[in-house]
Amino acid sequence: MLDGLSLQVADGEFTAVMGPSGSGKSTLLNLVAGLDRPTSGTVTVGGTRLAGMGETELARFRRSGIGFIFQFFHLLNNLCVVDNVLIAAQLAGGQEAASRARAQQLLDELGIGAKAREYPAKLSGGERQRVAIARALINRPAVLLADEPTGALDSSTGEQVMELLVAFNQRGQTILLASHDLQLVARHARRVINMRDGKLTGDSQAGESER
Amino acid sequence: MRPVLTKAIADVRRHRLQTLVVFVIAALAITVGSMGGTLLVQTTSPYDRAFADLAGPHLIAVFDTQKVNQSQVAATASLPGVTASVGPWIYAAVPFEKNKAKFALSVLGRDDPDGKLDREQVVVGRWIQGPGEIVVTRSFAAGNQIAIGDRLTALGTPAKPVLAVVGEVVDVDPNPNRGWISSGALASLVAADAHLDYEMAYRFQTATSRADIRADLNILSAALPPGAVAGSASYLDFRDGYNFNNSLILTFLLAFAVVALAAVAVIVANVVAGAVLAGYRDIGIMKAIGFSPRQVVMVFVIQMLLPALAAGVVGVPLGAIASKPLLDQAAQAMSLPPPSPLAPGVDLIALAVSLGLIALAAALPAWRAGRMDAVTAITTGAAPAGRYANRRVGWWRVPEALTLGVGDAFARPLRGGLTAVAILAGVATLVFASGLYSAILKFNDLFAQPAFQVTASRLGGYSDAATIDVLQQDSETNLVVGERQLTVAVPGQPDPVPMTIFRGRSQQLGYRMAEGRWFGGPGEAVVGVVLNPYHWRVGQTVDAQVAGGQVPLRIVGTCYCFWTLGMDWSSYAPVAPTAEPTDYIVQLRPGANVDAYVGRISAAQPDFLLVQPISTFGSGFDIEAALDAMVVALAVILGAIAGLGVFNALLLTTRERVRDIAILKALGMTPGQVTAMVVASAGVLGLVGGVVGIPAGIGLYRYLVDAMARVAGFSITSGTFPNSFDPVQLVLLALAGVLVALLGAILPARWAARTAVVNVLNLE
Repeated sequence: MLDGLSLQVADGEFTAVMGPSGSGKSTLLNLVAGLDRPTSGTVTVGGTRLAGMGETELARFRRSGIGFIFQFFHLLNNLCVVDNVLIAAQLAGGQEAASRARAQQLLDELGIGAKAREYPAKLSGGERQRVAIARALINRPAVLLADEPTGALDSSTGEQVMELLVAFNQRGQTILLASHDLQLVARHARRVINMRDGKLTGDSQAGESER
Repeated sequence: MRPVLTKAIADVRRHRLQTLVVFVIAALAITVGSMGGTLLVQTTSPYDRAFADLAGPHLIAVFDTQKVNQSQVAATASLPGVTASVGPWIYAAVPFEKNKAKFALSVLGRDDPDGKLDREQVVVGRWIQGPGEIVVTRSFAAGNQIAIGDRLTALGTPAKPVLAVVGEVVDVDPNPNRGWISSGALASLVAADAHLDYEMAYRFQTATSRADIRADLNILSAALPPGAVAGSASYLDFRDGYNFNNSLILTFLLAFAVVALAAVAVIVANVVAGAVLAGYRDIGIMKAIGFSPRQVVMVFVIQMLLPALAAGVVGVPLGAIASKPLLDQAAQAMSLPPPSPLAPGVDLIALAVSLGLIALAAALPAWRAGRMDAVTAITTGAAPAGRYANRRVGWWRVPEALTLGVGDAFARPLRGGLTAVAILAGVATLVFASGLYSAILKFNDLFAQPAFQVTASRLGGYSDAATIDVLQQDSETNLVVGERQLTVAVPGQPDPVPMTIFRGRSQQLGYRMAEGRWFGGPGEAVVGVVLNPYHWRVGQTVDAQVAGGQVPLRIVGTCYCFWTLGMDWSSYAPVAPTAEPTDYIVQLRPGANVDAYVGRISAAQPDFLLVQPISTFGSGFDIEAALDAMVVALAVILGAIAGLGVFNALLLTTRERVRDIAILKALGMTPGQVTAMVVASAGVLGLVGGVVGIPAGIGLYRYLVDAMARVAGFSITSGTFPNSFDPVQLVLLALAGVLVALLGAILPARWAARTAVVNVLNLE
């Protein structure tokens, strides 16, 4: 449940949303992704107002406008690694050759290029999350949403995943990340939003004290 | 037992939709089982059933009133070996007329339709209540367009009394040309010097074979003056004649019942097995908390049997209701009384077999899963793992939703296979039924005689020469062939052989030859392809005992005709020099008006010639309509069951894949694409089932038609009707399989499209 929340995220920002369980972090991300609808208020992503969009329009918006990384990866178990990545490109109507090349490039960058033909069941948690990152980035989305991307990983693997996200952010990728791990967020995010009971309780830049 | 029941009942409550599907499918299965079982019983021994219901007699004997009086005949009731009898009734052949159409009826004076034996069952109207009324057989009424209230003019006396038709009856005598009037009224219908007989019906202590019946008849004859017994008919002859005449409808009913039951069994087993396979994860959890393999099996069996038992309450009466029109039509086509659609024995068996099948279909996969270790069962049930489940994305020319759907169809190969088999069984059954239907219609065409249009029969003592004169004098007569039908003895064959003897240019009758040629003169014969239980072949010689003499006959051909042996009069004349034809087949000149011709000949000799146009083959009832009704019933029920099978399979798959569907939606798959994916999954199963069902149905048709022909002693095989399948119809049937699958997919697809992404993914 969100209550009176007003938030703007600039292009190219790496924004982390912090807060305890039930604070509304995931709800915020779901609203931005068009997976959930606000009972009142508006959500605008890249100039596109989501209010009033039908299910089909929202689906089309998600294909190219949003990349989503889930806590539990949510890979399709019956597709191999590269096909898990390609399915998103295919849904977005990408060209086959270009999409394959980009998928392989992303997997290589994420250090799992050699596992392109493996199935998710054979991958570690960290590897699965890298596949999820590749899938989320394949369509060059306006915003990359990450909901507790390290929540199911050990701390070392979580650190690696965050470093990967930072690397993509440094190349201009806008990222909105939800997490409850203060230390991890403090080390990587440039802007930190604090929430409690659906309300915005703080908004600070990295290195600043909470405003 | 308590935990088993707790878990089973909880599952029934939790999986309400699946329980509803099992309930509906079980209800339809029990309905078909009840229908099929009843039809099966009908086709196995319909005559015997009617014989028992109507207290059929072993023998009907006719006594000459000039040799014996009524009390002498009545006294035969107490002869040794006679266990029951009814009669005697006064009896005579009476010509009738209605709107210039003539009929010859064997009329009995009988006041009471009931009695210990030979009961007449009134199926329309009522029994006679006094003079001036007549009751006829239902076959006669249907064949001659006679309805209750019609008035028949008796032509036997100058007074020409008129009788009102008040009822239609059925009994165990297959001869349709019979009527009943009050016992005192017969004298007014016939001339004073007309020949009258008594008829009496008997049951004997021993009457299982023709030899028994002959011995019983000898006792009757010996007790009366010589020549008193003018004729007789045994129930064995009636039964054989009945079975032969109704072989078509019996064949179809038998095939319909057997194939429909088999198809329903396959589909029901698939649905139930599919439902259990979907519960593998549950099985693993049950085992993990201490359920034994036996208890696991019991949970699933009870879970499936609970809705199935409830289905029995609906299915049995539904089966009775659905059977009634089929049974009525079949009974009408077979000239038998309509049986009660409530057959408790058959219904109980249908119920027991259906429940047994469902229990077995549930027990087998549950037993298999019950023997797995808990982790394997959970793993098997939790994800579509395995090499069949894995697939590649990369079919870029086809929309991705379709490629995913096609892949999903066999992600679980066993469940996908079972669903395809359910469609296959439905399509194969309909292909089989349509082939058989077409073959039966072609079978009728084979026996049609388009070259001849009219038959004439001599009545009373009217002579052969006078008949020929009347016929030849009409300018529209082109050709007349005389005909006489006999049964002859052939050494080595236990039963009399039906023979037709032709006088004249019989080769022009237009009988279609299956092999060889028509007979060309004395010593040659043609064998009918239908009634040839002796398997006589072209080139073989048969020694027939005809009219006390021996006639060696070389078989020169086989034809599509309803007699066993046919020969020329030149073979018959040497052993029966004074014999004459009794019936005449007339070919008219081109362009002649058949009805006008029949009217002219009837008017020329109104009292002694029975002239009729040659009608289509059959008993006067619309066999095509009966077959149509059965094929439609079969199509509707099989379609419903197969559709529900697909629905059930997709429901399970959709429920199982809800997480994947949510992920795909999160990645941007639209509701329309989700629908297309699920529908494509069903479509490919329907296509596989439909396409494979076509050759399976054709193979089933060939195998069963050949097997039934062998059993029935027919020389006809499936090869006799090479074009029984219309290619367009086959394509439509394959598409019907796809359509049924698509219909079954609509609801699961819509539910899948509405999957709430956030709820599903947040529950993980």
